Amino acid sequence: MKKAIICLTLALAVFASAHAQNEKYTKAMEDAIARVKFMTPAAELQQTAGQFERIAGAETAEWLPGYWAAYTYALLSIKETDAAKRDAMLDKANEFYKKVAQQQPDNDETMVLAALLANARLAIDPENRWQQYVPEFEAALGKAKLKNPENPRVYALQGQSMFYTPEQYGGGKAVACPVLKQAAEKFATFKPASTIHPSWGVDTNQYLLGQCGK
Amino acid sequence: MKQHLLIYGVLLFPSLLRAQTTLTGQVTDRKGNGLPGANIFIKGSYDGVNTDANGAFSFRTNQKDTATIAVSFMGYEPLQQTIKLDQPTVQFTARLRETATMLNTVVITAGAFEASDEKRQTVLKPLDIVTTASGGADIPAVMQLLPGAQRVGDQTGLFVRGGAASETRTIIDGLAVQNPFTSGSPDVAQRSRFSPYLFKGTAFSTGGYSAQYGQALSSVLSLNTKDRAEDNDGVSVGFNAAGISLSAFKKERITFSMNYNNLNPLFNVLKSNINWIHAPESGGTSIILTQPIGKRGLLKHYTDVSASRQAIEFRNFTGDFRPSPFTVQNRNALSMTTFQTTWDEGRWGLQTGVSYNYNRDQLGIDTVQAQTREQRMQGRVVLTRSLGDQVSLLTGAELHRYTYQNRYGVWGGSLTDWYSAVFVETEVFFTRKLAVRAGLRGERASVIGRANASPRLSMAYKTDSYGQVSLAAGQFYQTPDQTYLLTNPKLRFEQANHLILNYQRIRDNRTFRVETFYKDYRNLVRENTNGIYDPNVYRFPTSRTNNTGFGYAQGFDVFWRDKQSMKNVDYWVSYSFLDTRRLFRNYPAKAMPTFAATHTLNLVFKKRIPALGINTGATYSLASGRSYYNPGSTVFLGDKTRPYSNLSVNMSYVKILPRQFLVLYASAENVLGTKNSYGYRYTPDGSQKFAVVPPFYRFFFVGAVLNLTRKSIDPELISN
Repeated sequence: MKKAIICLTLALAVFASAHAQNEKYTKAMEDAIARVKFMTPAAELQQTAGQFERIAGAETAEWLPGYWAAYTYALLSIKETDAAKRDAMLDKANEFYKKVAQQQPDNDETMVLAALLANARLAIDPENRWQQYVPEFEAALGKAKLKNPENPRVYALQGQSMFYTPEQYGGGKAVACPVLKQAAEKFATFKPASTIHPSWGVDTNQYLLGQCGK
Repeated sequence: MKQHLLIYGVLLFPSLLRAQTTLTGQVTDRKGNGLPGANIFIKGSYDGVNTDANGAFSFRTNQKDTATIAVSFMGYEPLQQTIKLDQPTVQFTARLRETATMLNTVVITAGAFEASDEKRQTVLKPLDIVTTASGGADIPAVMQLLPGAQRVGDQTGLFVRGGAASETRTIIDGLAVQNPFTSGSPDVAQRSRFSPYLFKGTAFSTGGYSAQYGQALSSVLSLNTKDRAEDNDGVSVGFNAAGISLSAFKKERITFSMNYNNLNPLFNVLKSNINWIHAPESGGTSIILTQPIGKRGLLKHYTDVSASRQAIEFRNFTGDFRPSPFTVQNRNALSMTTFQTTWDEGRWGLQTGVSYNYNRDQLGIDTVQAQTREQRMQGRVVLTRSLGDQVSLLTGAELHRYTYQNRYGVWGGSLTDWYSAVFVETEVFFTRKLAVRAGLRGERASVIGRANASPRLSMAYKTDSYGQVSLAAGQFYQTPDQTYLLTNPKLRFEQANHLILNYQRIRDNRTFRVETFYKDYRNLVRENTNGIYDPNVYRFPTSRTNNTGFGYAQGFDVFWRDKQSMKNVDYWVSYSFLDTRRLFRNYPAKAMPTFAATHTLNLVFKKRIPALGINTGATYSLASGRSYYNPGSTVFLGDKTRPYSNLSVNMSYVKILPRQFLVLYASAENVLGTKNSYGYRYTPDGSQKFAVVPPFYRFFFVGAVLNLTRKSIDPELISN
């Protein structure tokens, strides 16, 4: 009996410990993800990026910490004004992306991330970079759409890019809004695989869609 | 049982056993300045924090005994260190080393202007070539708006810092181009043969260039073709005032183009200063193939074949000055194949190429028939090796076979030259702030049976985050002009020694650059003409020649470009001061050559109006008068023309539709109609003079390009 109790307790303890570790990971990720918003001050975003980096370092088998680290650095790049620093942040984002691409080569979210990074590079100097990054952006989004046509971020990124393109260049509200609307519909039905899976994009899409009626 | 409970308790709550350690300290750069926002953590755990505004940190960890501390910060090399956690509080200071980036690493810039996408900090971007007013979408014409180059409207080529056009060499993917400009009539500067859309990068050097390049006393214009064709399948059709062009492209592999130009309709509309017998007419075709080989190899092929003709009425300044016809018919072919690859993670690099150039000009000068025919075959191989971050090595060799035939009436001759060169160069970063590049080039030209060795040295020192000082010096050799070699194969290499000092400051989108130079010319070819000067540029030199010519050029340039002070506005200002004199060719005395101007000023302005899809630009050029030959003057080339000025404007409109892409453009050259003259020609008795003027005082040009593609075009073109 005693033996059985010890065995059971041991088994429980091991399970509890593993579970606690898992819970700790999820909790840490959730805390960090909650702070990843466009309106978050840059210093805090930087802290959050650091947190993702630490988690990625500890949980080497997981791809989500690296994914979110790359996403956070992309956000930081968009908020920054100095072109050289923007590129440096994307260099950092790219380090994480490369690892994610190795871990999850067939995941549509990886492809969306690639498109996001290409778009962020483009935004720094569109006139001179479009020849390289527009095809990259297009190709990555195209692949993601093929893989999972239900991913709302595909449409959100496409619509966003059209929204900020002048009408003369084939962009503008008229073409962007239907795509943004499509993104909103996909967001409505989209359920992330877990609380820590990619879930970003709703707010920006809603904000742009809000501008459509005007 | 109590004992058991304790055991269970320990098993269930393992953290109870662990005493926490507090880690405090600071993350700094090499100088000890705190780095805010750096990430410091225990490797393999979540324990860690980002540093505060002073670079200080403090956090607790449950790890025991030893732990690996990791520090990472953007722009710095990551650091890992094992520490002992033997105290309740452990102090730790991490000093990080900056990673090599564009901002903190020096780049050797003396004498060089680059247009590139690949490098983040360049003065020019490829798009500048097509958006600059007065540049006519011609690479050399835009380079003429940069400091160091001169606008010489009546002579073809790039004239750099007192150097003649023949002293500039044009290079594509490392291979010399024999005839980069189209063949034209007297007193009319010609365009280059190459479309700016072929190239991803342009490097224009006004002196002190690398040992990779030779056979240029003044300047090197190095062009790099794109690594792949359009990222789409489609066709592009262009119409303009001078002709039509058609190109078809297959995704990333093939680009095929054809063009036909005839300026006759345009010249009928515009008021010309020249009586055209046959307005310029040309046609050509080209093909570009790119093929990746393996993961890192790339094979490129480019062939261009073209033909042109034109005829004008000009005053034969050697004879009786009556108007007489001048015709020129040209056939040109260029074919080149290059292969490049890297291995061992980029530590080794190989670039090889072979090319063939053919050019034939048939001239009819009044009653004289003349013909030149040139062929050049060449092979080139360059091997690069980087040894860590600090040292890189480059070595290579070239072999050319050049043949030249010239017939001018009863005169003429031909020659064959085997030209070979070997070069070696090393670039060493002593620190991130100090770089030195040293090279040596050895050449041999069989036609004169001589060899030379030319050392090159350049260095740069970074003064702060944005500024740097560069210095370049070297010896440069060139085989004498072919026409001289026909009569005298005993000539020696002509030589120029360069010394250049440069200061450059690039911050965000503003560039300031100032450069001063001294150029010493030696062993220039001189004709023994007994003091008689014949200004005919087409004459065939028959006098005795030797290498007793010499000269110098000195001066400074200032360049300022600003893309950020005004929204959607980009402007640059360039000013060059040049003091040069030389005794060469058939000059009877030392003089400032006809192609040199003391002061040159260019103002280039561009504005984008994204909402309308319109780009506009204006360029104003002002240059002091150039010398011309007046037989009545006591001083050789002592007379100067009035200053040259030119205000040009351009505008383009872009409309993108799905699968279509339309560009409309218009430009006006010299809108104020300033009556510039490039010089004068005198009748042999000096009694009558005729001004050498541009073919048009005012020139207008319009055109359209329509692109049709299979896949839709991304509207992202000029977004955000």
